[in-house]
Amino acid sequence: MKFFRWRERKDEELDAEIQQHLDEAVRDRMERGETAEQAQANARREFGNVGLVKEVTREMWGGAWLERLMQDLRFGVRMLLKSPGVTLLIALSLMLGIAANTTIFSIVNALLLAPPPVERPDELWQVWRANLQSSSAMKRYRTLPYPSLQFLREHQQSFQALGAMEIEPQSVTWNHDGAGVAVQCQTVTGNYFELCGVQAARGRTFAPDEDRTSGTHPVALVSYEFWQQKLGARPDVIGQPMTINGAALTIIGVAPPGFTGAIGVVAPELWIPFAMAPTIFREPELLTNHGRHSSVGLGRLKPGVMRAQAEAELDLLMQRLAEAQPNRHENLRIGLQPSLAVPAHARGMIAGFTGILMIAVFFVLLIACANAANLLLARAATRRAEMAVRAALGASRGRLIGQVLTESVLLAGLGGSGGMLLTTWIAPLLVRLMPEEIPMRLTLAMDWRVFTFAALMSLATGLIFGLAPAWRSAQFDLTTLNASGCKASARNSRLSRMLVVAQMAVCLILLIAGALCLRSLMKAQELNLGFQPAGRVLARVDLNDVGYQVAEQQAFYARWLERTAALPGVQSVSLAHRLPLGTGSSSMQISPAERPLLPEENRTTINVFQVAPDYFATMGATLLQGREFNQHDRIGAPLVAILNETAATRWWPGENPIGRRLLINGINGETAEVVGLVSNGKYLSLSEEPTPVIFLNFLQRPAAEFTLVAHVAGDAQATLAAIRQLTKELDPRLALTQMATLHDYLKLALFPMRTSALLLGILGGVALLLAASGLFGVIAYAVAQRTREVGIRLALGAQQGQILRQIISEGMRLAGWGIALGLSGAFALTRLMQSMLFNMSATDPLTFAGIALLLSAVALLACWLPARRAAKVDPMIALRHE
Amino acid sequence: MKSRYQNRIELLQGTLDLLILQTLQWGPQHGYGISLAIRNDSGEVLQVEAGSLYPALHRLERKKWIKAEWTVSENNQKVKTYQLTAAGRKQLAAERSNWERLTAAMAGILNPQA
Repeated sequence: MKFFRWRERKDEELDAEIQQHLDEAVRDRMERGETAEQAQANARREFGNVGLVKEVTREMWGGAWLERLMQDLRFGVRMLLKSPGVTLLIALSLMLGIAANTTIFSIVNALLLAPPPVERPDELWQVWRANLQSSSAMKRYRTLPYPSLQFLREHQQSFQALGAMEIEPQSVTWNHDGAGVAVQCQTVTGNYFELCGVQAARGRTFAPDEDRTSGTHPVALVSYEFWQQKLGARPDVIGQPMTINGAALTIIGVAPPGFTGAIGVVAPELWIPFAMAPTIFREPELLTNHGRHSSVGLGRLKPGVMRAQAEAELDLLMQRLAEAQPNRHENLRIGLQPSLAVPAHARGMIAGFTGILMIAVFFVLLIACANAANLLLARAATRRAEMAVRAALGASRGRLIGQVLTESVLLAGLGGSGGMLLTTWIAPLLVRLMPEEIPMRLTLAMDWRVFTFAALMSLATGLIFGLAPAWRSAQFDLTTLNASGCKASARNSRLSRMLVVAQMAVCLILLIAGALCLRSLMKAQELNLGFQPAGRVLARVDLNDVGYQVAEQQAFYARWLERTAALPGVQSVSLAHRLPLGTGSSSMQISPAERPLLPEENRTTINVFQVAPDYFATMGATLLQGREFNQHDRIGAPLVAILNETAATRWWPGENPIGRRLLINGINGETAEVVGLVSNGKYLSLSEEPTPVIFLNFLQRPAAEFTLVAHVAGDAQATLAAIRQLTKELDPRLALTQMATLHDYLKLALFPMRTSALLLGILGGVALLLAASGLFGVIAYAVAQRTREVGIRLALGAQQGQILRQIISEGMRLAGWGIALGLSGAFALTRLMQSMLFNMSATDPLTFAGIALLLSAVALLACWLPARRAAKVDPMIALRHE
Repeated sequence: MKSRYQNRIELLQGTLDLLILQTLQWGPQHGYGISLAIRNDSGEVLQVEAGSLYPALHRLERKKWIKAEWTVSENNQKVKTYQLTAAGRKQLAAERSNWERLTAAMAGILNPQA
């Protein structure tokens, strides 16, 4: 404020000084005999342009740029308010573009940029095995076995402290007052919280010695959120017992609010020390098994130790370890990774997916920019007179350009602020797209990174779309001002036509990308899965949690099935160890019993599913030959198996497989009789090729963990609720670890495809809207400018149809160019998304043609509306125009 | 009108500063007075336009080579007069010697035999 008062005083002084100069000059001239009027005029002329002199003198004061900026801003706001319609239109389209960019960036930020909630995250390193030869980012980083990490911890010199964690939390069952609740449990070393630099909100964190001997310290920490929501925020929570997977643990502390661990996206509710993991996960070998790769090291380097030094040291240690155990860790080195929210091995995939989205939203923003530039170009034409007057009054060309740029940056700022607001509204909706089965906690926060991104994006946007109109508005020749500047307006319209062509092209690329995803999703949903998802529900339990003996387990299956079958609406019910297309699978070496194992069969295994009687009927699978499993195939009875078509044609092409025998290496080399043949389906992923699969009878190969499936006529949710109720009645300690309709269950497999189709679809729609309005605007503007010409032609006898055809064909020529350009662009770009597509080419000709047609139709509409107005022009009114 | 301009010599960059400092050496002076003095002393050859004079004055003032004062003239008008500062005197000496070296060098090139 002080600055402005100072400038105001300086301004007054300058005025006085100039006035004094003029007065003296007039006095001199009058003394030389000029009349008062002559002297006044001559003195003025001699002095020159007072405004200009003031302007350049002010420059010398310093801080002039600030004053100029304030002036430009004030003037800019006035100009924007003068045409609120255009302002609003531009701001809205920029708002959409910037909101889309900011939202996608906030995902990138949360997943790839933001550090996990630990102290000094840039100093906390993750220790992975690295396969540097691997070209795929997915495979470059792998987890380590716990014993190897333990060896590294004992011998390393590079780190102040080294700890470890399991790569992701596992679901365990918490026995909560007799009812089972699924809880995400993370296994960590005793120094984990210390490494993260985190203090317990209540109680304490693990002590290092609580990690030494297996099973002796049954302690656990709970997350703050878990304590608040599931433990009722009890103040006496410390020291409370907690039964997890049947083992008794004591709560010794509550983690601070918002702490999700060193891998921040996955949200554990419970932490246990590694020493307790063998007890909790019923895996006595867990701490000594070198074949179990699921841990990641975590450490802070000593001061002065570089990342490469530490890697080299750990490499040497790993070599020592490998010499002791041949055939392990070949080709694999140690790689240190900075601590980021998403683990190293998943980062490449996420970067690929979000990269495509970033390109898409950037395209939307480009279209919005082109729209804004077009609207401003049109306005620049109408403001040519204003600009010329300002130039005549002494404004320099640079100053005029600066003024117009200030206006466009103001507009972009308006759009950017709106965009940021819109983002805070969209981002939570986006998080909700994620299926609950993915144990991720994604908070799309508007932090400084996102804010900076949005601000820079807005500024850059303002400069980009403002540059052309600014340049144009400062291009005129003062002497030809009165010739109404026809030439400049022709150049203007050429530029805006080019912009429309570019818009059409970019829009087409986006639409094609969206349509490809959509078609791929539809194909995936029409896919023959080998079963019918409609009207099926599933419920999963883990009897390990309650420690049943084999006889009790068998009794439980029988009662569970019986009571579920008796529910209203349930038509059929069965069990399976695992359902297809879930997480996890099992496989065995299997070959026809009539011949010895072929060498290649020695190395390959066949996927095996254990399913109970009536499984195929319940799932709606087609039994082609033979029978289903039945109650007579018990433990002790001869083993039976059912094949799918691919397995049958592999071993007995063209023959009847029923009655043949299979050698199953997994079961002590026993043979099983083939009793049935089912049609092919999808087992591990939707995109797999036809895979051979063997079904064994669950009753002969029982497991403590299994899924119940029921075919329901009627309300699936009611059936699920009833299953939950009856399970609780059978054993109140049991928790259903999964409970869903088969449709929802499959959502997980379709999640990436559904998300990309949805997002690209929305972006394509926004792009279409913006591009169509851009074309409409340009044609409408051209028509408005040519009203007089049209009027003359109509007066001279042209038909309305002719006018209509001519204007439409002019617009469609632009659209045609845009579509041609867009098709070649899409042809080059959609290859990037081949991995996101399912069962179809990224250059699918049908999609390309269909979208080109759709865009042509929209373009036709956008041209027809203004063209019709032109053709209806009344010649008399048109001729009086101007 | 045009012919009047043709007889004038375009001032070299920085020369105006030297002229102003030199003019102010004889005592405080206001803007119009400075432009008159330069015109008269150069025999009407150098005519400083207001559009160059005032920016130069304000620039020199900002560099603290001259300082401005508001005084009241004999006909009771507020007048802004400029005068040299100590730093300005030093600057004048430096620019003078620069100028002399430049003219000597120019003379040497233009009249090689002399």
